[in-house]
Amino acid sequence: MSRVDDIITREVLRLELQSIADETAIRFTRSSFSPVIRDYLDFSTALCDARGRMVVQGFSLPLHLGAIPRAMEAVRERFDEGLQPGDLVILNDPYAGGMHLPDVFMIAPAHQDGEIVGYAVVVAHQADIGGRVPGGSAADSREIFEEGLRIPPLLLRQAGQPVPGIETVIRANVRLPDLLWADLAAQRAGCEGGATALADLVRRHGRTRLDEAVEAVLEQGRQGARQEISQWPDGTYSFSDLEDHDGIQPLPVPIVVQVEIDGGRVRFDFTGTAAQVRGSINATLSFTESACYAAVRALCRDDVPVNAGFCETIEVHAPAGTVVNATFPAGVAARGVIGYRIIETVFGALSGALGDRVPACGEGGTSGIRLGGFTKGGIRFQMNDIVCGAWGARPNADGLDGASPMAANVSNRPVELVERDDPVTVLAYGFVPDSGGPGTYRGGLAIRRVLRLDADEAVLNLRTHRTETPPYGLEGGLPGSTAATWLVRDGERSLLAAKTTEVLCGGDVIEHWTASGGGHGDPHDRDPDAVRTDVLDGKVAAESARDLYGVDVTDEPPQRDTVRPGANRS
Amino acid sequence: MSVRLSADVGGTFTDVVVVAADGRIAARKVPSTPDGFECGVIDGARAALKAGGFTAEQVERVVHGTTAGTNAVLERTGPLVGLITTRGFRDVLEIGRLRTPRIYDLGWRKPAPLVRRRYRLEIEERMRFDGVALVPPWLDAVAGAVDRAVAEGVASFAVSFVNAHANNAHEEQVAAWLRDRHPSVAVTVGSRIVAEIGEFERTSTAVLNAYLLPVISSYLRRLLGALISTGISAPILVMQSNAGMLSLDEAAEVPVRVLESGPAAGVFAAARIAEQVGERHAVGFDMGGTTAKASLIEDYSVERASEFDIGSDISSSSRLLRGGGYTVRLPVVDLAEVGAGGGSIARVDGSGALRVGPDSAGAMPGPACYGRGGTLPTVTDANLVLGYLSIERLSSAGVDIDRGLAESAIAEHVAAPLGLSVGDAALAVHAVADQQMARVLRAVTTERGRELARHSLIVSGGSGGLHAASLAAAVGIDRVVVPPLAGVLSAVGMLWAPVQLDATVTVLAPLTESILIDLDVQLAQLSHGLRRRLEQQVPGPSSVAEVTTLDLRYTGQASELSLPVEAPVAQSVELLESRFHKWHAETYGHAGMGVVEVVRARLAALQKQPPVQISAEHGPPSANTRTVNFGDRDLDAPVLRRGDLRSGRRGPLLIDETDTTIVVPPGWSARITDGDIVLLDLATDNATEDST
Repeated sequence: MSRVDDIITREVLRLELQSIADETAIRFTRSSFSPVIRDYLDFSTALCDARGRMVVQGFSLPLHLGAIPRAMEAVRERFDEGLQPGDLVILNDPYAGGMHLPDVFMIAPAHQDGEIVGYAVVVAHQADIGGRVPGGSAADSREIFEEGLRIPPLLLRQAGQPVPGIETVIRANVRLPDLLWADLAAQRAGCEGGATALADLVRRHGRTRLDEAVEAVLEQGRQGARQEISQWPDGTYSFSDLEDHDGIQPLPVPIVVQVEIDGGRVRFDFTGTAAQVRGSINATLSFTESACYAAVRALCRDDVPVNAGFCETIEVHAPAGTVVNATFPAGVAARGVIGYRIIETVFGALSGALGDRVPACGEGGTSGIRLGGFTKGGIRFQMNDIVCGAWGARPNADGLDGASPMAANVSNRPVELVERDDPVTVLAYGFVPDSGGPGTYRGGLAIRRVLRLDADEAVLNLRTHRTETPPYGLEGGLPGSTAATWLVRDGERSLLAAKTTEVLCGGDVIEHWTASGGGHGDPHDRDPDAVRTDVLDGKVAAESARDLYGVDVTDEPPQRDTVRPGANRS
Repeated sequence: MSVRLSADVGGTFTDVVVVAADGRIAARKVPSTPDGFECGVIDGARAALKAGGFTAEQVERVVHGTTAGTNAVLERTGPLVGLITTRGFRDVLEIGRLRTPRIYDLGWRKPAPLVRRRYRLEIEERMRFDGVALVPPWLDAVAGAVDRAVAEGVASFAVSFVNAHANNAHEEQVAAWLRDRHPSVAVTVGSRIVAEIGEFERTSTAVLNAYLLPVISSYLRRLLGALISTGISAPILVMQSNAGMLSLDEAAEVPVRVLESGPAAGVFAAARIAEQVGERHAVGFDMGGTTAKASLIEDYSVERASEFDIGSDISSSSRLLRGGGYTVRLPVVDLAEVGAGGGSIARVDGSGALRVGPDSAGAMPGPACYGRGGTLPTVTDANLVLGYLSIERLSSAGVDIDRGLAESAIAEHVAAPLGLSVGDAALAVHAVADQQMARVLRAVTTERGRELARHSLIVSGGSGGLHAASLAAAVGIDRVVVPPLAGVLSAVGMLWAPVQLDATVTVLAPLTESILIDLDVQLAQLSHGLRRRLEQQVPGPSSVAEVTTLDLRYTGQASELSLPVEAPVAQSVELLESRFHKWHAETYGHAGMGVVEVVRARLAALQKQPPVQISAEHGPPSANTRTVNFGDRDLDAPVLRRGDLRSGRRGPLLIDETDTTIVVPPGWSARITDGDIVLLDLATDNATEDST
C-alpha cells in the first residue's frame, strides 16, 4: 500500500475503534435499568488489544481510568490466552482486578482465525451487590467480607452459553436480584456487541493493519502526554490534605503527595500518606492510579487520547498498606472518598507548577445519601441519591455553580423521579447562599438537598466529604464552606457524622449541605460589578460583600431568598 | 397561476424557493440579515419571483423556517424573563443536570441561566407525585416580588411547578392570577408546553418559550407586514422542530416549537425523496460549511428524539454527554452532528496523525483559497486542489478564488509534515473528512443495531455532493441519491411538510388491556381537540390523518423505544409485547427483561399541504472537462448537467450546479430518474449502460 493509503487507513481504524467503544457505551446505557447506570452514568467502556493494553475508551468515568488495565492483568493471569469465542468473564473482587464490589467488570474476547485479537470491556456500578449495608458503598465496614459478594475472574458464559450455577449464586447474595440480572444482561449485550464489532473490524482490515493502527493510537497517547508534560516546569512539588473521617470515627486521615516532573514524565509518590484505616474508605492501587491519570489528563491543554500509551508516561508510587494502596482484607467500598482526596491533593501540588490552570478545591466529591427499606406496601426499595455541584474557582473564572465534579461527571436524579420511584418527598434542592469561597474568582455555591422519608422505617447510609477541613482556596482566595447534614425528627435538629449508618423513622427529614468551592485570588481584587450581581442574585450576602470583598452595596435593593444567608449551621 | 413561496432563514444565508402549480421553479440564496431577518426574506423573495417570472400577487401560500429563535438565544437579545416556581426549587433551572459536555475540561463556562436568580420567585404550593394537591398556592406571599420584578422590567414570565405534569391546576391558577395582575406581561404555563415528568426539563423548556415569546412574535409580525407591503398577502406556515408546520399565530404563541426548523425541514425533505425513489432504508446526509449531519430514515419516516439542547457546542467528547446548551424537552428530528464541513481545518497532530476538524475557518477568514487571510488548509481547499470544485462556479458567488493559496496551505501544513505530494495530501484530507463524517452515519445506524451498509444516502447541503460517493464507498454503501435543489433542500422540505399538531398522554404504567382502553378514551378526546385546532390553521378543505405512537420500555429503564400503532390502541397486548421484545432485541442485543411499561402515547394530527413536484433548474448541456485527481493519476473528467444523465453515464464525471457539485468517481455510475433526482450507483456487472 502507498503511503497515503497508510495514513488514511490508520485514521479509518482509529475512528472505527472509537466508534465501537462509543457504540458499546450507548447501547448498554440506553437499555440499562438501575438509576446508577442510566441516570448517573457510573460506568466505562474500552477496547483492549490482544496483549490487554487499553487502546480506546468509549464513554468513561475519569476515576475508572486505571481500572481497566488492572482488570485485564487479572483476567490474563487467570485465563492466559485460553478464552474461547463466546466466553465472557465477570469479576468485581478488588483484590483480583476489581475496584470495589459494586463495580462489576465484564470482559469479552474478540477472535479472528482462532486467535484472540482484542477484548471489549464494560465496567458498571451495580445498584446492590449484597453485604451488610444496602447499596454496597458504606464507609463503616471493617473488612471486605462485610461489603458483599466477591467475584474473582470467572466465566459467566462459556462458548455462548451461561455457566451453570453462577446466576444462582449471584442472585442468592444480592437484595434486588431481578434488577441486577437485568442490568447484567444489558452489560453483557453491550460487551459482547463490542467484541463482535472488533472481530468484524479485524476481518475487514486484517490483523496486521489492526496491529499497526493500535501501535499508532498508543503512540498518539504516549507522544501527546510526553509533549504536554515536557512543557510543564521540571521540579518537585508537594502538598498534603486531610480526609476528616476514617469511615468509623471522625479521625483525620492525611494524604501526602510529592510530584516530580522531569523531562516529559511525571511521578506521583504518596509516601507519608496514612496507613490503611479500619473503615472502608481505602483505595486500591488501581483507583489511586485512576485518580492520578485523570488529574494529568485534565491538566493537558491538547485533546490527548487516554490509553495505555498515555498511562506509560505517568508513574505512581503508593506504598502497600496505606489508604492509597490497601491490602487484603481491608474494606474499600467507599474508596471514592479517598479518590477525591487524591485528586485534590495532586491538584494542590501541581498548582505550584501550573498556576495558570489548576482550580481551587471544589465541594470534595459526590455526597451519597442512600436509603434502603420497605415501602408502606411492603416492597423493598433502595434509593441512591447523589448530591454535588460546587466547583473551585479557576485562575480566570468563577467556580461553576451546579456542575458535577470533573472526576465523576455524574448527573443528578430528577426530583419528580425520586418521588415517583421511592417513598421520599424532596422538600428543597438549591444553592446555599453566601457559601462560595471568596476570591478574585468566587468558588461555586454549596448545594442543599432536603429529603423526607415517607415509609415507616429505612436505613440511611450517609457518605459525605469535607465536614471539618474546608476546600482550599488558591493564590489568596479563601477556603469554601464545610459540608453538614442534619436529621430533623419531631422538630429536633441534630447534626449527623460525615459518614454514618442510621435507622430513620417515617417523617424524618434529612437536610444535607455540600461543601462549597474555594476561591482563587484576593477577594478585594474581584470586579465590584460581579460582587454586586452576586448580591442582587442572593448568591453573596451584603455583609460578606462589605466585609470580605470590600464592596458596599447597602444602597442596593435587599435580596430575597428562602434560606437565610449565614443561617446557623448547627 | 398560483405559486407557493418557501423561505428558510439560516445564520448565514436565506434560501428562497418559489414553485408554480405547473411545476416551474426558481431558487435563490441571499445573505441573511440578522438585524431584521425579514429583510433577507424579502430580498430572496423578490429575487426568486423575478427569476421565475412570477409576481408577488401570485403567491398563495408562504412556508417559513427561521433561525431567529436560536439566534436570539445565542446573541442573548431576548427580554428580561421571570420564573415562578415551587418553594425550595428556584435553583433547579440553574443547577440543571450537572453534567459537563466534555470530560476533563476544567475551563468549561456554563451558559448563564435565561432567568437571573433574582427573578426566580418561589411560591408556597405543592402537588404530590401522583397529582394529589397538597398545598394550594399562596398568592399573596409572592405578589410583592412579582410586582417588583415587573417594575424592574421583566416582560415575560414562565410558571413551572414540581409535579405539574401530574396535575397542572396550580400552574394554571397562578398563571391566571398573573395575567390578571399584569395584563401586559407574557405568561408561559410550563405544563401546557410539556406535560412530561422531569422538573428541570419542563422548566427549561418553559423558560426558553418565555424568553422567545416577545422576540419571535414581534419578528413574525414584522415578517407579515413586510410581505404584505411587498404584495404578498398569503397565509404563512412556520416549520417546527418536529418537521411539521404550524400556523403563524400558534408559532408566535409557542415559539420554542420552531427552534430547529431548518434541520427538521431538511430531514423531512430527505424522507420524501427516499419515498420517491423507493429507498426504505436510508440515511439523510447533509454537509455544509462547518458541520455534517445525519438522520435515519426508515420506511420513509423521520426519526424523532424527545429532547435537544439549543446553543450548545457540538464538539462534545461523547454522544452520551450533551452539548451543554439550553435544554428543550420537545420532539425534534433526531440528528447526529459532527464538526466536519467545507471549512474544517486539516492539521497533523503531535503523533503524526492527520486530523480534520472540528476547528473551522468559518466564513471569515474562510478557506485559504478565498484569499481573505486564511492560511490553514480546509476541506474546501483540498476539494479545489483535487479539481472537484470549479473555480468559475465558486468565483461566480463573488469570491476571488486562488488555487495557488490552497496548494501552498496544504503543502505547508499537510504535505510537508507527512512527506506526501500536494495531490496525495489533498486526497488524504478528503478521505479523513469522509471518515469523520462516517461517525455520524454510524451514530444513527449501528448504535441502534442497524447495519449501515444496507442503507442508501440521501444527500443535501452545499458540500454534500462533493463527498457523498467517496463517503458511501468508505462505509460500504452502494447507492447515493442527490435530489434537485440539494443546496436548498430545507426550503423544499417546508413546501412538502404537513401541518402538524401533537399531543402526548403520559401513562407510566404496565402494558395491560385496561390501560390501553383508558388510553383510547383519552386519545379520542385529544384527537377531537387537535382536529378543531387544525381546522383553524389554514383555511380550505383538506383531509386530516392521524399517527399514534406508543413509547414503551421495560419497567425500570430510562430510555424508551417508539412503536407506531394503529388506532384504536386497545388491540392484542401480546402482539404489542412481542413487537416490543423483537425491537428491543434488534436495537440492544437483549430482550425479555420483565414487564413492558407504556411511558406515553403520542398523537400527531397531520393535514397535508397540496402536493408540489420539484425539478432541477435546467441549463444547456455543458461540454467542458475538468482535470481531477481520484488517486491514481490526474484525468480529464467531463463536466455535465443533470439533463445529460437521462440514459446514465459512468464516472469519472462531475455535475456542476448553481448550489453544489456532484462528484462521480471512477467505479460509480450516474443516472437521472423522475423528479430530476440523480442516482449514483457503485458499479457492478449489471450497471447502467455507458452511453458515451
